[in-house]
Amino acid sequence: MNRDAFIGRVRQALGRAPGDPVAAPPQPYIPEVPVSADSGELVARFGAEFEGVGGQLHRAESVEEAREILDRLLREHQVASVLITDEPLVQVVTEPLALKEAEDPADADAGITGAVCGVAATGSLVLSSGVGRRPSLMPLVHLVVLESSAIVADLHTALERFGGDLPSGLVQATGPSRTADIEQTLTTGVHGPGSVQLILLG
Amino acid sequence: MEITTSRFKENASGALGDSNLQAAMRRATGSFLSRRSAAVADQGDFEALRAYCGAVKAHTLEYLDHYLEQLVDRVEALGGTVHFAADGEEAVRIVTDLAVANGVRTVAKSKSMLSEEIHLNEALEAAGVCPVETDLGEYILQIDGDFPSHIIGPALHKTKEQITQLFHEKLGTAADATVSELTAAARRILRRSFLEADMGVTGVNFAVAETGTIALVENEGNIRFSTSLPRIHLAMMGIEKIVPRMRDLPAFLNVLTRSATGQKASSYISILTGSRRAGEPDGPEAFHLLIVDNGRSSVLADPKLRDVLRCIRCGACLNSCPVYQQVGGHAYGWVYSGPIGAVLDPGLLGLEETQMLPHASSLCGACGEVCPVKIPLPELLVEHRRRAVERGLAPRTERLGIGAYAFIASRPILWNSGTTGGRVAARLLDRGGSLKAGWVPGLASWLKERDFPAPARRSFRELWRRGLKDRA
Repeated sequence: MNRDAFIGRVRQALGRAPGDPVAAPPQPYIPEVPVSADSGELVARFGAEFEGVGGQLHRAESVEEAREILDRLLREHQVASVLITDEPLVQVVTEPLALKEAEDPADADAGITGAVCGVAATGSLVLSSGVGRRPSLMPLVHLVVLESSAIVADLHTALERFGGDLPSGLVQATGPSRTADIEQTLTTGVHGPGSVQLILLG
Repeated sequence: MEITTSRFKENASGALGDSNLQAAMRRATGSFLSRRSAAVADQGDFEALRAYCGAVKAHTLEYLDHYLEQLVDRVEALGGTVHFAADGEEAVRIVTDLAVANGVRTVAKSKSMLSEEIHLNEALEAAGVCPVETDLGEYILQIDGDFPSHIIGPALHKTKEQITQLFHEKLGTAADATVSELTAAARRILRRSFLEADMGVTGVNFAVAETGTIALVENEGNIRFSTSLPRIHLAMMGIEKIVPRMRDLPAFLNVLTRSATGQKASSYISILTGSRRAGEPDGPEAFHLLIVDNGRSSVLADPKLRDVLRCIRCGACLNSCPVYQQVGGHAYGWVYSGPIGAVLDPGLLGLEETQMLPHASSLCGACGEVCPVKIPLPELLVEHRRRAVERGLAPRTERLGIGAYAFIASRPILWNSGTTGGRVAARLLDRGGSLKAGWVPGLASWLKERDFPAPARRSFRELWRRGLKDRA
């Protein structure tokens, strides 16, 4: 069916005619998040929520400390090859480690990425397709490096940051990949990462 | 799947006798309900959010033609292709033609109730394209030739033992595999499908008219794969999936995940705006949006029923329904089950085939209370029942019975002598406070599964007349 016939049928169902006025939609309502804009509180709330959904949080005071933590995590997870995004912070942290990048993304043991921001209300990370979709998706381990100043209160605030200019794929990721499709038994690492490690800088 | 909505009674009695199903239903609905309650309590302004989401959906439906135009304009401006299907047949033809024209051999499919509604998999297979269900629950059903019984947990009617056995037979996993071993096997096998697939097919949870964005909600990551790796992404939606603005999205995502699985946010929410941009390292080359009517515009044209199109498919009404809890989703005989199915199915399939479904309810009202977009489900169940009677679809016995009742109840002399006679008869059958009348024709089957308390010795009307006089 062509567009005009299709939408025409809907219009007719509503008893409307082309060009009929449209009332204003209800005033936007943003879900309440009981957290103040104070950055210390934002980070505390984010940390509690992030760990509550099964993420693992590591705090670093400096880039060097972040690098040490990353190095330790890679060894703990026996990571042989990685996918790395070209975000500046990720590059600064990873470069001296001279990590082996996987030739085939499907073979990588871990993905190392940044995030657009962290969402305090739900302990989520907002990931953008601008730096690639695979590193945060395909490997079983997802390692994230993020400045604590990039934590915002809620998804609404995160979306506002883009103005009208959204990337093709934005993902709000909250904890590891999970399922409860077999007898409501929670299992992680179904398709996406089973382990999400966040190194929060500052 | 074959539509068996007209055989609800037979389906339901089969379900009641299935002890595996009974155990699975109890576990699943109980767990969904308790997690939902906790998540709703955690969001202090949940009631305000429900009211808001209900109002936004009502508004969107009222001006749906406008928002469809806006959405289509935006998606096309982003370089996407929009397809329109009047019915299921046209919808599957569009998808299969697109797949065939692009040389697609494998389709990675993410859970979509709409695709079940239009029988997409059968059509793709017939066209030589292999559709692979990638949601774990849907994958279990696909390899078993079964179909979903719940919007959120499609395979919740199966026990772990049944799934272990199924995987053992079909995939060669150990006969005593654990749940995480089963999940790991599915990860391994489905990962190959994601890498092979030329096209990802998904549903749509919300389509944002002002930006041409679609939002998809999941926990496993299969939607992220389906929308990231294959070179084509096709998303299909019913006309009712629209919200006007990006600013509406957080509220809807909030009520959806809390109502569906009791999560503050599901693991992954994909907010997709067109296909891969210049400078982006990966992502689909082409984005197609398929908008399907398939009976929805006639529901829209019905002012009383229109509200049912607000539904965001969270499944909370299923979990809260005492009838669904007992009989499970398959008994309803079509993709949409539970209270929402009992209201939506007659709208989409016609009341002739489905008039049993609105009776699969005790009208307890629980569904209306949990609905995150405030669909007046109990009222709509009654509305369908009323229409079935008006159109002469209700069973003859019901019509005769109600007719006789109306005749008597509107004539005080008949009513009084009837109730007096009834009480006298009841006294004769009274055995310790309840009636034993299994031998009375017509009552036997009713009394088999129910107690019939003996009526009071004096009727309310009698007590009213005397008591009030005495007190005065």
